[in-house]
Amino acid sequence: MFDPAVSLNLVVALMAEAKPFIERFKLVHEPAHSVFKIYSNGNLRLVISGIGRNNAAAATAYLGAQSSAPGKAAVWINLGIAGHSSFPVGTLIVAHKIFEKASGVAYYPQVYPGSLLTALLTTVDIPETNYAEESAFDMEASAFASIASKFTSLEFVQSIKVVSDNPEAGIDTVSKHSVDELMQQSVDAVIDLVQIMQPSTAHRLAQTYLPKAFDLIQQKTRFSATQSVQLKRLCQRYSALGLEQRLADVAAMDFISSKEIIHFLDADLVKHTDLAGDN
Amino acid sequence: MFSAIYIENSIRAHPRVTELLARFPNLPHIECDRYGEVFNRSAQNFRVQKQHPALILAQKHGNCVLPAPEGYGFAGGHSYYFSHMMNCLYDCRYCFLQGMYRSANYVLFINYEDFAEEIETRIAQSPAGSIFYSGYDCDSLAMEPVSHFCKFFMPIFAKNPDAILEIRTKSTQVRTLLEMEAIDNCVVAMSFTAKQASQRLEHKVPSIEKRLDALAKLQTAGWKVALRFEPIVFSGSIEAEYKELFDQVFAAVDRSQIHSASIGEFRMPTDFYKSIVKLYPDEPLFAKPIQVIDGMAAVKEVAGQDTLANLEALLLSYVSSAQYYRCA
Repeated sequence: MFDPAVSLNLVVALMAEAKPFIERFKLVHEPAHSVFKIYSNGNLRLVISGIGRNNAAAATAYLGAQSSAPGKAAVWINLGIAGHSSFPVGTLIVAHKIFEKASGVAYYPQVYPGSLLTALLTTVDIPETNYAEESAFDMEASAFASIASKFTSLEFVQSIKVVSDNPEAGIDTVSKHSVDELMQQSVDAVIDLVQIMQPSTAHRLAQTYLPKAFDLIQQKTRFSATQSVQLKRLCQRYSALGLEQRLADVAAMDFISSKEIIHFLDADLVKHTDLAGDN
Repeated sequence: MFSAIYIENSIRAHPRVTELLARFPNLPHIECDRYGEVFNRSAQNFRVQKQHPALILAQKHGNCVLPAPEGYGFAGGHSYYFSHMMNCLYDCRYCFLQGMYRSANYVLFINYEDFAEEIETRIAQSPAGSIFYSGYDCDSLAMEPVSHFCKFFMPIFAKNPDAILEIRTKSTQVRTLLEMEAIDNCVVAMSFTAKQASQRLEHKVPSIEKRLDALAKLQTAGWKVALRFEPIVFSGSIEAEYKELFDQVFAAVDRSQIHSASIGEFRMPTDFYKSIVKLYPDEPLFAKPIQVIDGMAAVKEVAGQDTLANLEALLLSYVSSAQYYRCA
C-alpha cells in the first residue's frame, strides 16, 4: 500500500479518531512506550497524543525521537475531527494554512494537486463554539506542524481533518460513535494523499541515497566526521556518474588509513569521469 | 501550472490580483501577511517543492530596480536589472536560482507601477543611456499569459528610446510581442545550450527548434533579437555539439540582424553550488570535478584545452566581432 522506503507517522489526539486506522492498517500496540500509546506496522507508526497543543507537541516529538529512519523519506500527518463555520459535518479537508490563534503564527503545508478539498485550519486552545471565522477549528494542528517540521521537510507535514461539528450541529452532538464513523473516510484520504506525494518522496529518497559500498568502506577504518562527509559525497559522485561497480571494486581493496581512502577515491573519480561519458 | 495561490493581505483588492484569482478559480487561494512567511521558511526542500510549485502574489517594497552585476550584459550605458518575479517556470538543472532561493514557489510582484516609477527615475538619471535587464531571477516571457509583463513594461520603453530593455528568456511565449508594434530599444535575448545538454538539463524548456521558430517570428515582426549561448557545459564532444547548434541557429535567424551574441560558461557562487549539490547529489553534472576561482565554482575543463576560446572562434565565424561579447 505504501512505499517501504517511506515512513509514515500519524499523530492523532484520541483513540476514537485513531481506531479506523489501527483496524485498517492492522497496527499493533507497542507496549514498550508508557508515555504515549504508539501503534505500528512496519514503516507506519501512529501516536495518540491527547487533546491540545502541549500534548500534540510532546507526542510528535516523542514519535519523532523514536522514528529515526536514515535513508527514508518521512511523511507526517495529523489526523482528527474539527469544527467548521460553514462546511457540512463529514466534509474532509486537508489544511492549506494552519493558524495558531494564541500566537498568531501561521504554518503553510504544501498543497498537492488532487481531489481533496483544502481549507484554512485554526488551532484554538478551548473548543470553538462560535465558529467566528470562515475556518476549520481544531486544538492540535499548529503544535504538530511546528514540531513535525523538525523531523522532515515542510512538504511532508500535512493535516487532515473531518468536520464533526458546525453552527447547525454543535460540538455536543459529537460522540465516540460519530467520531469513529467520520474518521473511516479519512483512512482513504491518507492513502490518496500519500500516493499523490509519492513522486515527491521519490525525489527526497534520491537526495539521501548512498551506494552499498559506502558502508563497506566506512567499516574499513575510523573516519572523522569531516571525512565521513567527504566519503559520502565521493560515493554519491560515483553513483551519479554510473560508477557504482567501480566503487564496489574499490571497497574490496585494502587501505592503510581513511586519509588514503579519500585521496584514492578523489583521484580515481577524476580518472574515471571521462570514462563515465558526458552524462 | 500552480498548486495554489498565496496572496499578501495588503494587495487582496489590487485589480491585477483580482484578475489573476479569477483566472484560477479552482486553486486554493490562501492569504498571508508577507510573502516571506511562505517563501523564506526554513526546512523547505526546493527539489521536492519544484514538483508542485505555488504562485505567491506579493508587493515589492522598494529596490525594484538595482545596478546590474559587474560584467553582466553588453556595453551601452548604466546597467540595471529588475525582477518582477522570483523563480522560473522551467527547471534547468544548472540554474543558480536553485541554490539562491529556499523555495521553488513563484513570487510575482504585482505592483508594476512602482517598478515603472523606479525605471523612469533611473532613465532620467542616465542621460547618456541606460540598459535594463529583465530575466535574472526569472524567465520574463515564460509566464506572460499570467503576468502580462510585456503588455505593461513595453510601453514604458517605447516612450524612452534611449533606454534599452533586454528580456532574457528561453520561452516561446511571444504572442504579446507579436501583437505589438516592435520597438527599437528592446532586445529579446534567447538562451541556448547544445542539444545534448539541453535535452538532459533543461527540463520543461521548449525545444531548440521551437525557440528558433519564436525568434524568427520576432525578427520578421521587426523585434531585435540576441543569442545567449550560456551556460556552456563542458563535455568531450562539445565543439562538435556547438558547431551543430550554431549551424542550426544561424540557418533559422538572420545573422546580420542579430543584436548581439554571447558566450558564458557554467559557473556560480560556491555557496549556491553547495546548496544545489545537496538538492541533486545524483546529478552527473555536479559529480564531475569542479574548480573554484574567486568564489565561483565551475566544472573543470579537460586539461590542456581552451574550449571557450575555440567556441568563441567558432561563433565569430557566424557573427561579427562587433556583435559578440563574452559574458563575465
